[in-house]
Amino acid sequence: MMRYALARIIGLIATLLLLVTAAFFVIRLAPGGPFDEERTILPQVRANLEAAYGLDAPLTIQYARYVSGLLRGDLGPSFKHKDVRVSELLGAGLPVSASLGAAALALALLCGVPLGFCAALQRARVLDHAASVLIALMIALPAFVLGPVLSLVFGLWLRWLPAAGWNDGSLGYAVLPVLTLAAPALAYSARLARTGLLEVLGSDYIRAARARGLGLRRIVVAHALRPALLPLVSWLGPAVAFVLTGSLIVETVFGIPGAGRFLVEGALNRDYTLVMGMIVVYGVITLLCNLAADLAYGWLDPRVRRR
Amino acid sequence: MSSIPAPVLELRDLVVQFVSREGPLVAVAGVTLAVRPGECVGIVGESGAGKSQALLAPFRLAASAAQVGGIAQLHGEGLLALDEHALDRVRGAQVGFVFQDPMSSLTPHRTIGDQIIEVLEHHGRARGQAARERALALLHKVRIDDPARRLDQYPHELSGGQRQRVLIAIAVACDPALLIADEPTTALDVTVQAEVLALLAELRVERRLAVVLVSHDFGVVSRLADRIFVMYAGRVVEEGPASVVLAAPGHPYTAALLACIARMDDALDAPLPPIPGQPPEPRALPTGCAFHPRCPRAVVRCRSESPALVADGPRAVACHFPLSP
Repeated sequence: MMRYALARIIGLIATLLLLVTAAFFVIRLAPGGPFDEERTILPQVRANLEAAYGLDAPLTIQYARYVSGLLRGDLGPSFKHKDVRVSELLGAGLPVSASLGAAALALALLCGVPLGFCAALQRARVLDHAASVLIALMIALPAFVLGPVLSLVFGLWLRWLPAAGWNDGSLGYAVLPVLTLAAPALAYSARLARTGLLEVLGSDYIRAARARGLGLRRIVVAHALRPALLPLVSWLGPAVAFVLTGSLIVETVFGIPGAGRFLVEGALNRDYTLVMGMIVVYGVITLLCNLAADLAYGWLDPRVRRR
Repeated sequence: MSSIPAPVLELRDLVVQFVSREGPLVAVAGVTLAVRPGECVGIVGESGAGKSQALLAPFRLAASAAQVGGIAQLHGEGLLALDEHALDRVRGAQVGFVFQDPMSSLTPHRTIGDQIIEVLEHHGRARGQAARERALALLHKVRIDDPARRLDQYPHELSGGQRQRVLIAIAVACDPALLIADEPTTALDVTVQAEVLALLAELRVERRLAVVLVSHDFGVVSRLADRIFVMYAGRVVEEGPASVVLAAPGHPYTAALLACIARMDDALDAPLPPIPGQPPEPRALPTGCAFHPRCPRAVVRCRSESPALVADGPRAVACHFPLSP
């Protein structure tokens, strides 16, 4: 087990390095640079700027500097936000995004999984059909529609909740953005739970368990639920990273000071270090979630356990 | 009549059909059979003949769309009127089942011991440590090597033959009166097949277990069965004592199936005669005798008139022109 864990950690670091390398060079392929603007800057000023940020060095040297900084935990200065380190930007935005995302994910799983399981057990009956409609609706409705509609109805018309803002994540402010962010995740987890359970219920070992007279409740709880979670777990790995790092749309609609805008904004501004910082964070979370998913797999299905 | 014990399982004119958009599909069209304590009945036929459906549908283990008609009784009590809850007290407790594929019939994330103990506890036969000891004894009984270690292993750590033994142990854990084995050896190697059949034979004698052995393989059935039922297209076409049916088949289909079995004393290069054609589609059964398109002896009458199952000495044959011994 120790050996397995060690191998996984080395693999994780290698993957991360590969990701950083690829991202670093791909970003530079895009035309333009951080200091291109409508108004022309004097060539001397531009040269000074580039020298100050180390952009005048050959690309490989820049890469080496970035990686060595990264190993020391330094994500570099932002090229666009003057006098601000990338780590300061992320430090301010990520906790907001992460708490919003965690709440949305918890809501999605706590409602979605039971909904999917119930739909599977009530297959082709009213609850199943109702769940299917709800799932389709939540997947089809984009956040830029759902968010403003919720804000309009509950914020402006009914005045039950604030229409926008974050207010350090106080409950009233969090409800609508959490709902908006949770809706598609809830729908996906319900759908995966439903199909997962249906597939397991059709398998040979469930018929064999029925032939032992174990009764539906015992069969579902003791034989079907764990394997039924497998598809959900593989989806959850990347989904967690996606939700925790912030949604540009939801955060923009509700005016939330999260990290969701950094990736798009950074890419548009050619704020190389900010984009890299987001990619590193995204990569680390994804890899850790996948590792967790792998471990969960071992628990759910002993056939994938290694020794 | 007191010398003949009452049957454990009795089917009378059992009909199984599946209703779908394309209309009803009759899988079993009137099967009558009885199994007595300590007796082994073998049911033979090609896949799709309805043999598994006839035995599984009364216990609601066929596909959920199956509609079952006729009479099915266990110890004289009707099965077809029982609800799922009542059937759960029959399945696993009074009747044990063994299925074809041992690789997929055990729940992958639970240990062997766990799954045996579960059945014992669920049917109230033993609890806790006593249940664990009984599970161990059962594994001994089905001759699994190193049973104490197996208890804590997962199904994927066992070979196919070992798993089928585990499934047999689970099937007989609660001392059922009847064991229904649906193609129990089909997925196994030939040598393992023989061992598993020997185990079934032993259990049957020791526990006076009534056994129904469903197989497409006459070779398997002939090793264990006292009586043989041959099914074709949802009907029994021949039944009788195994010795009679095997030695002198009365139905041309039985004879053709028997001719397909390789014998040790055959010449090595002797070809096995296949049965020409395919089993009929259940939705498009031939008129008259369902076997007539494949029968070498078919005449005009076979095409128009469906033969009834008629007693002929110790056996019964559904053929207008049974083969005479």
